[in-house]
Amino acid sequence: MKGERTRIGVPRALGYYEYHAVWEAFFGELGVDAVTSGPTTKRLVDLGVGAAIDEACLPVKVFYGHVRALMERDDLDFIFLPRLVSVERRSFICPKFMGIPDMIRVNLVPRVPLLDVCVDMSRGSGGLRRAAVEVGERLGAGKRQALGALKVACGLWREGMAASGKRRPQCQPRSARRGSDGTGTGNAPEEPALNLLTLGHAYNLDDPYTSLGLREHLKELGCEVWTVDDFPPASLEEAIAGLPRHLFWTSGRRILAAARHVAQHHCVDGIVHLVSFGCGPDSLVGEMVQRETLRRGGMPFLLLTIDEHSGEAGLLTRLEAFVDMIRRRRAAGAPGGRGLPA
Amino acid sequence: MRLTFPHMGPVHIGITTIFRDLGVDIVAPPPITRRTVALGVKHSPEMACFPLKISVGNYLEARELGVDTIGMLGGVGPCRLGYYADVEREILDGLGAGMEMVVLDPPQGKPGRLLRAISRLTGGKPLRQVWRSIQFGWSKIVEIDRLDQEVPRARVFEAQPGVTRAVRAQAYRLIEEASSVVEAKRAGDLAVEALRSISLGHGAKSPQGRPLTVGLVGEIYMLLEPAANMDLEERLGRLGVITRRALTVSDWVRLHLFPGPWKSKDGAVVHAAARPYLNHFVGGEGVESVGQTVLYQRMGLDGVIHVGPLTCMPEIVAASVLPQVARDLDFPVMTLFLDEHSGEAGIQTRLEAFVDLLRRRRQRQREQGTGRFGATSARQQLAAGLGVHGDA
Ligand code: SF4
Ligand code: SF4
Repeated sequence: MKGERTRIGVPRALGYYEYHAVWEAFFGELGVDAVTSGPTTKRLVDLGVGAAIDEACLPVKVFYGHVRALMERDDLDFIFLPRLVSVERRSFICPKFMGIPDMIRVNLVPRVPLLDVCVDMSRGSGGLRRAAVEVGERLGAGKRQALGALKVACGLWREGMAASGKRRPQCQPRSARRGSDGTGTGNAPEEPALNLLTLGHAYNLDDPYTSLGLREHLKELGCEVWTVDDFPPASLEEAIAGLPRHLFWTSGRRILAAARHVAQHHCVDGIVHLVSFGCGPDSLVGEMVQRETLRRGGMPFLLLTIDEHSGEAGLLTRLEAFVDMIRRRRAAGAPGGRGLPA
Repeated sequence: MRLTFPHMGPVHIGITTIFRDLGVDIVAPPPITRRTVALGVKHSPEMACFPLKISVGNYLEARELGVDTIGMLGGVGPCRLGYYADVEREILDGLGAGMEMVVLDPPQGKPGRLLRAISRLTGGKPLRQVWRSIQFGWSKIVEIDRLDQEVPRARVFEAQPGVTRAVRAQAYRLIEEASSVVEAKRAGDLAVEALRSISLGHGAKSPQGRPLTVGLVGEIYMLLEPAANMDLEERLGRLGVITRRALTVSDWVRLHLFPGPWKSKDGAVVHAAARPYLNHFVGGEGVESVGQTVLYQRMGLDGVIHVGPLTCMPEIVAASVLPQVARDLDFPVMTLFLDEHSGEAGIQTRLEAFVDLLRRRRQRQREQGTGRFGATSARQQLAAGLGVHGDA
């Protein structure tokens, strides 16, 4: 049953995790209710796996599942299906993000109109403004109103960004010397928490279902979990500035920057990189991450590849082994990550 | 300095021509064999795309020929190709291969950039000379494309098994050795003539009915490199199928290297044909795969085989919408994702099954008087520009 206000369904997958705050604020400003498809569940994954081609990566299948879940509802006026081509200059997200609205439109025969809009900021923020105006139009808002809503949404977004990256104090370079006297903290507690950096796409890491509860498990194992968002953007930029050529995937660039940063400053004890089976960008970025960390002194590194068949038990075993290995190394005198000053 | 570059079908003929003409010591990597693939696979990321792995094998084998420098295309995304060079450099450095990787970024509307980069590689040859050499190399590519177009038909009609292959190999060699544009042209003419006489000449076997024609679409490397696509065209030829390839080497150069001067006019047509199914560039050849499939249906071909490397992002997008294209147009389309693990027997079985399906479909159309055997058949054929050498 449709209410008075326009209701727009937002699939809680892919770009949602990074950008939902902007979308929701934008729709809110336009007086439109954004309704998500809810957390990922087995049923949603099954729905997606049933509709996507086998060769697609899990996040794409999960996206299909969320859209199908939205299509089952009869209280929506639109389903929001942004084509996220680029969110910053000279960069892209992933070719599959560029094609997904078509993949959905062609395969799922939606009853509800799709609100697909192309967001391409590879040549500047004009692309975002155009997208806002276009969405506004479809929702019956004028250009001024849409741009106003966008301004508010982006303001909120920037505040959020400024807050992240301050959550952790700046990571200072540890003394370059290695060995039993290299820890430098002096007053280490008996069983110090391990600092682990989790790398991966937000739609994997922030989705407890597809990530198989990675973050929770790490916490249970006594680890302090870091993510890319914990580093000030400036340090990330600095860390990646030395690369010979521009890395053009937004997420891959942040992942590699964070890896370089922690490998240089030794501020964590290890890296856990979560990738989807068959992920194109990560197949190369992951390789660079491993080589970077190896080159800079061999930080413990765990690559976790997940797909729809991965099980939590297997993940847990690997995490335990990884954490044990780091603790043993520590006990044997290897320096720990500096981590946080208490 | 001794220079090399990755293989991709017959591209090496053009590239070596350009650089030799500019006085650079350049060698093409040895032809791709099982060993090349094994070497590449061993040292590349497991989930990297197949072309990257084979390229790494190329470099390592070229190193055995005393090569110390690699010229590799760069890119600006969105697909992996644009980042290949960086990863390959890391891999080679990690192996202590002692090879320098020179990245040639695509000109992006500024052809001068690529010219200057090539000029630097040649120790500062004047741009005008670089441009002349490029045109010389280009003329060979054009000849190769021209003769390649005759190959599929000859292959199906050849009276003596393997003769087409031999003629083509010899023509490639002649074109490669040609020392002028005119000579290259003459070699091309000869080859075209020889191939035509195979498909038309005395003793040309006339298979039962007009042969099936199948369009090949997909990722460029898989289309152009027989060592990567399991010799797909040859296999189909042996099954009596004439193949039409959506992209040739010159198309690829036009698409990726010099979108300016040689921009293909067909690009817009292909994109328009793809639009109902895929309405945005997705990197690589994703849109071309979809658009060409639609166009091949309109031309009256019997079906399309879509090939891509496993995990290829643009082709996964294309493969996601192609089933709907096939349903809408009632047109058989088969997707093959291939990599180093693909088994020959499995591919052969799938090809045979697909060809069977096309034969039955042809038969059905014949009985019902629809399709290309209906009243408009001749007109359709002309429109398709297929030539009418068959016995339709
Ligand atoms: S970035 Fe990787 S995981 Fe994400 S959609 Fe692309 S291929 Fe899939
Ligand atoms: S188009 Fe396919 S094969 Fe080419 S770089 Fe992209 S993913 Fe790899």
